[in-house]
Amino acid sequence: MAKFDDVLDEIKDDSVQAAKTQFQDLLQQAKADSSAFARKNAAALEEWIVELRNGDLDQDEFNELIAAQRAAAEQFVNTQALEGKARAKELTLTVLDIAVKKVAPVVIAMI
Amino acid sequence: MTTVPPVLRPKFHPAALVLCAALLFAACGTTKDATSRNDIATLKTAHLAFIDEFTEGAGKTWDEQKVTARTAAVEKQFSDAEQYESTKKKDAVRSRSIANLHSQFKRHAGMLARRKALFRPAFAKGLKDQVSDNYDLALRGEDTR
Repeated sequence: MAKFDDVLDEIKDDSVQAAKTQFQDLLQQAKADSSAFARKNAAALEEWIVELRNGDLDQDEFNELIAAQRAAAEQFVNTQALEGKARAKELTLTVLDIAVKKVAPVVIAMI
Repeated sequence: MTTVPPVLRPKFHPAALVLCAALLFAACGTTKDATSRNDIATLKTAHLAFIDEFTEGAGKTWDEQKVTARTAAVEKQFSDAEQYESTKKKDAVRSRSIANLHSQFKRHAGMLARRKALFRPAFAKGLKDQVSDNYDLALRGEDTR
């Protein structure tokens, strides 16, 4: 069974290297963030990407989980004070968007 | 001879204070309601049980009639909760919260109907985590009113 880092290491496609680096960086920040929501969001996302790679989730299922998580993240961002909104958005919504638009398609192509 | 200080009288009549508090409370538009809280807690149990019931497992097979019947039963619970909300003073926060939970249930039931297959365990686990979090958020909202 693949681990999250192994899955990302498998991604060699040059066109997504910048997105992959940004994704890894934001996930690291999210996992160390003081917000429980950002940490849980990052952990869930890593788990779903591994499950997607292993075939335990298909694209439809992955997209449903992301859509629901995105709705929750929007609510979370809206509850943040103005000065924390941009960071909260980057650590949740931006990470989810990179996952669904850049990472998931490449992972699916690797299956 | 000592002088007795005059008794301080409240500047506002108590009834006026009660009226002000009532107006302020009404203006907030959110009120505690044990029935509403209970409805949300019951919906959480029903929604999670629905996911469990239609997740792959030993001896389970796809049964469209069963899915349709159970979906209708949970839909009825949502309708009853929404109906109850509509019969009393409008609480926008609670109504939006129940509407979001209902739309999430519709998506899950719709996904079963569309795929004509039971939820797979990894997906069901992710769904249940999200569903649980969303209901807990709504229940926390009820508790902090």
